[in-house]
Amino acid sequence: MANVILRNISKSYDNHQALRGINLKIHDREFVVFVGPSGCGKSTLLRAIAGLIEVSEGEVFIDDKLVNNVAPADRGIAMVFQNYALFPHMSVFDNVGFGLKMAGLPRTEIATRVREAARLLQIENLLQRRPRELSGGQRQRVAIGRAIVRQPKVFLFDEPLSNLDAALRVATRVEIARLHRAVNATAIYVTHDQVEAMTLASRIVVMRDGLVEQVGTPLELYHNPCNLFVASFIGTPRMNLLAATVVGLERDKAIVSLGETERLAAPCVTDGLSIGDAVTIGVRPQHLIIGSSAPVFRAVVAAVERLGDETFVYADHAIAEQVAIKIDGEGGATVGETVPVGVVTGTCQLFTAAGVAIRRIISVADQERISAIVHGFKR
Amino acid sequence: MILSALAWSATAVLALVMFFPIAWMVITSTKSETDAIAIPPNLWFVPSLAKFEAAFIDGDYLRFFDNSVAIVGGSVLIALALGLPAAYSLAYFPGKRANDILLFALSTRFMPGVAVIVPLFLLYSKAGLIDTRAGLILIDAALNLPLVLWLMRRFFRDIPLEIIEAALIECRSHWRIFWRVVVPLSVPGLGATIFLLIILTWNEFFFAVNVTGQSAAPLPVYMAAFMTTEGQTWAQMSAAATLATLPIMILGWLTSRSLVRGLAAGASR
Amino acid sequence: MTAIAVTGSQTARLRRLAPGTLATAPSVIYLVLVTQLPFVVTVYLSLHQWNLLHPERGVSFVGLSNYLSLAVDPVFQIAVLNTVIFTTEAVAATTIIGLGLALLLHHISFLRGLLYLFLLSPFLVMETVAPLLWKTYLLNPVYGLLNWFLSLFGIAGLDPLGQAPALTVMTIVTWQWTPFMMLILLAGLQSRPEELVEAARVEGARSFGVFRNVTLPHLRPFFAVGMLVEAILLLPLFGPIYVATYGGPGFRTANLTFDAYRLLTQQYEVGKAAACGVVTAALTMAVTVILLRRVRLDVQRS
Repeated sequence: MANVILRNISKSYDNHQALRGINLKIHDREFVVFVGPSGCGKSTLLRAIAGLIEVSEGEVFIDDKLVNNVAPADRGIAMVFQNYALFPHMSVFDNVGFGLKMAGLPRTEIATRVREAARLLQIENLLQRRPRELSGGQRQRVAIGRAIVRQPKVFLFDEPLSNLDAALRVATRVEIARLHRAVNATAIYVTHDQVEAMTLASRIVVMRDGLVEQVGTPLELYHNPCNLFVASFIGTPRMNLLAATVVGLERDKAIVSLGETERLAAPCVTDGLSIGDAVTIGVRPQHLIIGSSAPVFRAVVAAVERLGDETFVYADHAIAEQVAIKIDGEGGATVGETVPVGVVTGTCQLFTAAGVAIRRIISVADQERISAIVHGFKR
Repeated sequence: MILSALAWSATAVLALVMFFPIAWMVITSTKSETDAIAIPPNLWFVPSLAKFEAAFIDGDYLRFFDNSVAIVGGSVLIALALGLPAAYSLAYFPGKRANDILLFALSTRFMPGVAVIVPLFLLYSKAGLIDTRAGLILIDAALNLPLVLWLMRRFFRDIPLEIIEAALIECRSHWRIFWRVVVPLSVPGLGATIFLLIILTWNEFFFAVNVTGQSAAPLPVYMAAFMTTEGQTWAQMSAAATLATLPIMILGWLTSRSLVRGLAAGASR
Repeated sequence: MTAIAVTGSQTARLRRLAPGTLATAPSVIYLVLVTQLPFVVTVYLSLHQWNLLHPERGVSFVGLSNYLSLAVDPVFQIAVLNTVIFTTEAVAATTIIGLGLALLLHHISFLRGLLYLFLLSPFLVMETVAPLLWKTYLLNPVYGLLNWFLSLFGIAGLDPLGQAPALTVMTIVTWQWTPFMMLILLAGLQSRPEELVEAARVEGARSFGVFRNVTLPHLRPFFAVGMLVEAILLLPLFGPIYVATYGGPGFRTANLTFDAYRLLTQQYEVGKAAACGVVTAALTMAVTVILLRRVRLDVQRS
């Protein structure tokens, strides 16, 4: 079982605390992505798992064995670096086979394994070249090949796509997903790009300031973020956040007000809420509707971005908060126009003043209804 | 336009003036003794390599030349053997004391020879190390070591840390990482450092003259003996000086480019 | 100038995988054995009376009397004076000339490589050969080129070595060490950020303005480190004095190093030679402290 268990991992440097008590359990063959803004500690955590950094406190288990005092080369891991870290003075073949050579494998075995990895990554014709003769994408594939060839228990990826251009990033992303299915091993992947996280991960770990904010599948994080940070980090474009006050409480519903007359009903668990509480409403751009028959507020269109198959409308709400509205297709709105904006019922997420999410109440039927409305309306 | 022509002319003149004594040395070594001291200087002469031949046949010169080679070789090897592992550790795995070690090493290089020569002289006398190559090699190695630490650490750090990390993930032996990854990637820097050490050690005089005598003395000591020459063997002296200087001149020319580039790059970091 | 910042989470992160003290210990131990221990012994010896030629007098503790007798010894006094004068004059002259050469080299391009090599050459010559070249070819009163050159203009011959020995030694040292400062300042000029120059030009600065407001400030750390290092390396000047004048005439051109050498190898006065060494070390340490403080400042700033 090539699982990874982290127990109470902390790491402090002279002037700051990089990791604060991380507890995680990564299952065999999972593809887990650590995601978060710069400085959140994701790379530090990855390197702690690799053994390149010593933890100040806590235990790291790989394959159920304690590895705190085990050298990186003995942990059964392989790592793909952001800048590829290929040895410039060796050929691609020697780069890929380096670890095997160091482990003392016979030459024939090394050759077989290297060629197999090269086939998998489509770099067979590059085996005799030097890294400097390769493009960024090719170098990255060589780096991945070097990792694959050692048949490690855990693959570690440190922002491997950051140095590639946008188109290449998408292509390589697909490659990595395909490889993971082919090789079928545990993978831990670090990135600051939430799109990569959403598309690649079986589970995502959202980090901030050395702490784990939330762990879950991509859709769990998307639909049920546990706090403001996760809600605004996951999902493109960003979730709209509006300040509001609780003005009414019913059994499974909170009525909030955005200003003078606008009212919004949000189905949620109302324990702990009182009238007059300040809350934040989170609504994703695709759940706002222009020209709704039951508008929640009016807003003045500030900008319209037409991307061909979808349109983004940025409008200023009376209290000067700007909202982003997504329209499928080439929907209409003109700059300067005042438009009524509605919210698809049951799609908004409330957050307390402290930023904690208030549990939504949505039945399965509601989910389907929302889906139909969202897509029906747009069409 | 005129300004740059003037600048160039000034530079050329100054360069020739600075180089003149050396050029004259080379020219004089191809003259006969009479020509060598002729006033006004004799520019129409038949150059000959006789004095160079004499230097090689004359056992004395060759002996000192051999000593120089042995002393330079030995001290550079010891400095590398001790200093390269240290530079490796300081470059990629610096601890809290790394700064202190580097500054300490630098300060030892600045210790004036005269502040340690007395005990070393006494010790060497007792230990029979006076007038031995080994004795001078041991001292020169200590002069070379700080340079190895500073320069090679600098050159090692030019290798991105990620490459070392990648190597550590694939291989648990520092020895192997050092020989298979670090050294091949720092060959130019290693070359420049070795050249610099050769130049400095070849020219070292103070310890050489105090600790060696007739059998182990290197070239600077041999050349110093010409100080009482009064027009007797100028051509011979010039030939000896030329042979002693030329290797270093060439090495210096080769090294200086990379060193200046290295200094300039380091400063802008 | 050169950033030597070592710690910081970026590079300290691999610390735990370090090859252990066995990697650095031998170097440190070797240096301590060859440079620090002997110095301690030198200090110890300087407090004793010991003459190798007169072993019957024995070795006895005499406290600071070696220092005192040196202090009143006119030869020692000249030596101290010469040490300071030689060092400061050399540093000053090499810096000024070196700056000029560096500026010239920086601005020319035709044959720059060749001219650079010519200008570098004096530094590569042995410190015992340089004085020979000057003493024989140029300054010899009878056969030297200088006097021949002067005679072309009807000027009477000179004997620089006899008439102005200190100045002659200074000239030789300056000739040898100017390339050193030139090298350092050239590195400084080459690392000068061109955007600053362009910005200054756009603001209306002419060549001198650029020099004063951009170049000189940028060169400041190079000046500082170069001059301090040169001072430290020139304090124990030995070869040129030994070969050109052998300290003379009399003791007029002796410096501390030469005096110590004389005391040790001619008079076999161990204690006094040691005292000389300690004084030299003290002077050097003063300059080294200034240098290291300067280097630390640059480290903190970078």
